[in-house]
Amino acid sequence: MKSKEELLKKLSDCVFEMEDEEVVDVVREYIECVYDPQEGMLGGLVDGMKRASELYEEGEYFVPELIVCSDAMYAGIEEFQKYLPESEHTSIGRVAIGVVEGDTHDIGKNLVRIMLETGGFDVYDLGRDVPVERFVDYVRENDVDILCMSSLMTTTMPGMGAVIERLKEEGLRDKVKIMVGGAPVSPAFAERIGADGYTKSAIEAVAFAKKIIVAA
Amino acid sequence: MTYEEIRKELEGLKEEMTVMERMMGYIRGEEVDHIPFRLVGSDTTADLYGYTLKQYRDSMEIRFDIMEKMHEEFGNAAIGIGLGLQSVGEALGSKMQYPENGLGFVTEHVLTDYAQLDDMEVIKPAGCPNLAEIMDTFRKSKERFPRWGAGNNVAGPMTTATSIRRLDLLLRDSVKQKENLHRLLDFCVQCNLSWIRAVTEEFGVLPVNIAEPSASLSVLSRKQFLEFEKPHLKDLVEGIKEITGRMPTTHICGKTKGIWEDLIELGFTSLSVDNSEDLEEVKRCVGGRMSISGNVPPVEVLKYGTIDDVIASVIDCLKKGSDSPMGYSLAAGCQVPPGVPRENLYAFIYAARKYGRGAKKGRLPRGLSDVL
Repeated sequence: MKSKEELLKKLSDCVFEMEDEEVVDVVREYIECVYDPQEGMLGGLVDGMKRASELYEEGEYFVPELIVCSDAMYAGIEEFQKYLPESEHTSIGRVAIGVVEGDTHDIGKNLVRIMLETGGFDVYDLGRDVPVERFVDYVRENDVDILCMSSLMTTTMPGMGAVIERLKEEGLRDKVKIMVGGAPVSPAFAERIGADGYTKSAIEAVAFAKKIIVAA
Repeated sequence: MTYEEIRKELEGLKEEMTVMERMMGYIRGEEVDHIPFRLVGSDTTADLYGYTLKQYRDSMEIRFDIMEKMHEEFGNAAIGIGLGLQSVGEALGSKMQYPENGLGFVTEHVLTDYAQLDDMEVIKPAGCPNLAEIMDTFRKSKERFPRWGAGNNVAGPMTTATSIRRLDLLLRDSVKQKENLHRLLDFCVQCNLSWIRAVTEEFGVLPVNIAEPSASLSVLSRKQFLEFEKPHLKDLVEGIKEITGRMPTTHICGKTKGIWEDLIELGFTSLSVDNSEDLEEVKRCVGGRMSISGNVPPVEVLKYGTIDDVIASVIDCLKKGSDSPMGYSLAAGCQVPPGVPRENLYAFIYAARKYGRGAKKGRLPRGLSDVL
């Protein structure tokens, strides 16, 4: 029987080295040894994702590698969840996320979603090409701490401002913190449309989300 | 400044040359009336003339009406015949959605499994309804505006691929299915060349621009650009040169600094940069080897800025770029979204004519050096 440390390292490596199929076998092996699943996720899978993020920060990994790493992490988490009781799920905050109408580029949004989930947030994904009213309705009808919006095109960026305007009209603006992002978005744009913040990368988004949750 | 003041000032800033005379004179190194600039396409201004984008797309008469009005009002005199960013995907069977007042986008990509690629045939424009329609629109535009300039457009290999297969899958492929991704990119190049061949056969040689937003370093790493984009972009460029005898131009969105040298190596002689790059730096790095163009922010300044923001941004671009050794033209940093206020278009033209007055390659325009 392999030691727990050995298997944790292997889980971490599977994520880090983008082995999205092998990871499932390692999870099973880990479970068969009756080690703690929670620890397997955090000390193994999430650790691998963290290492991948570090390489991203250093410019060694880029968006595609992060996506495949997160595929591997999710494959592992999904397998672990089969052995976890429902109630063990804890969350540090609720986030709704979506790409504004007219824009179907959801890669950045997916990355932020994954990072936020990894960081302990409960994330509801509104998808891409989301109409203004759908954002507003969701905020009205649900308990949400942070609303994240993104756009990859200059032509659809204005939609984020439109959502914030509508939230104000509906008296819902103070109910949520709003974060925006996407390649053409800048801090100045975020400020102009009245968002609470902008971050340049998915990794920064998690730190920022944690900060505004604590401040709230 | 107010809108009224701008309109009044413009009365005194008449153009002395046509767009073509200005551009040719400038390229030859002569002093021209003002810096060459490119405003916006007719799809951007549909709403200025009371139309929706859907009407613009659906009715040729409305399209002509907008083109005519833009010609009268802003002096636009160009017809584009081009593949949109998603046209090849649509021709191959990707499903599109066209919002009433927005640009079209793919809702369902045709290529979900690479086995499908074995049976996909390189597009033949005459046999694809959406491409035949683009050809037909161009044919009729030429009849209607015979003296206007014309240009052809294709999307680059990676952008074309995103109209066929979802971007997140393509990015996964770049790690997990490298061979298949290369096959797809090569297929995209063949489709684009097939389009250019068909257009050239019917309309003769036109200048070609390659729009390649998806090859941005905001999406790909430089390593991936070199591995996946560059060889196929090279094939596309070589193919275009072979068919038309001319080097195409290109615009890549977002961050591009890391690949400027590669673009020079591929033979590009002009560089249009996004507003996420600094024109001063562009001039310093490549201005001695390429003409440069850019980069008034399309959303923050042109759409949402005030008249004064637009003027300040044009002055800033001219200060940084207009004395670039191989030449400079003023333009927005990227595609301008529909719904830009008329006042801002006038502010752009006003600033270009006033501060860009007396332009000559390699030095600041007189309009600018007089006030500095």
